[in-house]
Amino acid sequence: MKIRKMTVTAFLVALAIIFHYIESFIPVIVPGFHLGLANVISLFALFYMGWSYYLSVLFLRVILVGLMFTGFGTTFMLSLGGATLSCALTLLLFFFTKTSIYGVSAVSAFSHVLGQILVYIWIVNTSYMMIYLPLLSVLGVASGLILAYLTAYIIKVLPNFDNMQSVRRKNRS
Amino acid sequence: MVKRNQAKLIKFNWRDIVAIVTVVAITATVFVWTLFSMSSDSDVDTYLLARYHNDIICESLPIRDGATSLEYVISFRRDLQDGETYSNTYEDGEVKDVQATDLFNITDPRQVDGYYLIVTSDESDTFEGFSDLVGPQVDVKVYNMGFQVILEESPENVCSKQGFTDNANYPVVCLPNSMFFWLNSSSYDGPDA
Repeated sequence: MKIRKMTVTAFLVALAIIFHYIESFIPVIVPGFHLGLANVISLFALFYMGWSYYLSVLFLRVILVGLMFTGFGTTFMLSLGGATLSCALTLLLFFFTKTSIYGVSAVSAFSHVLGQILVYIWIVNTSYMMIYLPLLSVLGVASGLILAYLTAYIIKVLPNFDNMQSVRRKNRS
Repeated sequence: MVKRNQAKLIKFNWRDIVAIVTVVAITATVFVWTLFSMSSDSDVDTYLLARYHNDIICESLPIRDGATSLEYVISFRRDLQDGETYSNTYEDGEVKDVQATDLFNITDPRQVDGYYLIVTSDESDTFEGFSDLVGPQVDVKVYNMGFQVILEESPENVCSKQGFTDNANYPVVCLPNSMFFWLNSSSYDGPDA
């Protein structure tokens, strides 16, 4: 069970990093805005497998992307701040309300933007970045809903995660 | 802890609407609060602040003498290179050749009314030779209880297009020239607070 969990997590992290890399080829309309394709993997991990997978995939992705592409500078700090706030709110919503994947994804996208802006304000000491919040959060919520639709589609197609092993064995025999 | 059913969790329900509406409401509140806390009209204690890179060139240039507004142009200039000339943005008035350090000391409105302050790069402590100023000059006109960047050499001329402003605490930034202007009100701590 432990090896299986490790393998699945590594697989998901690799996918998330690939998605992050692919996303860098998509031109951005608004500076600072990302579609957040890698968030599909985090959402999938949370709703299909569980919170422990979600946590490891999210933070391992942030750290590995910092290690591989951006370095541990401002970008990494922004990314980490966004991920932390987003993770906190997502887990709160996931555990204590019956909000579905759409609401969780929208709130996660919003809190990611908010966390990034707060970290940016902390770095450059200028509260004027708050003026950027409405644009980014509206785009973020929209992209969050689209990503949630995609993730829900993937989850619908796949069999239940806990029964995965037995399904595989049945097909083989 | 809520007991969950995976099939239900991927269906849109009313709680999602609540979550999204909450997010939008928070955004709107923060935006409105930021707008209102940022801009306020200029009052008696309002002065012009100018910054070049991280150095404050002047933090308390007067913009009014009692109830009447002052009217003058500050021209920030660097040394001319080949083929460059300074533009005249002033029509009348005595042209002064002052240093950036002198600009810092002006607090009395009568020292600037009707005059044009020309800041050159020579022997200046705070400007470090204007090495990064793109164009040869950036001109700021103070009038009507506010100010306007009337000339700057930059690719997009963003702050010229921004036009006149008399809002305190609302910055005008010329990024290519690394210049930053705003009306500093004593009732507000400033952008770096």
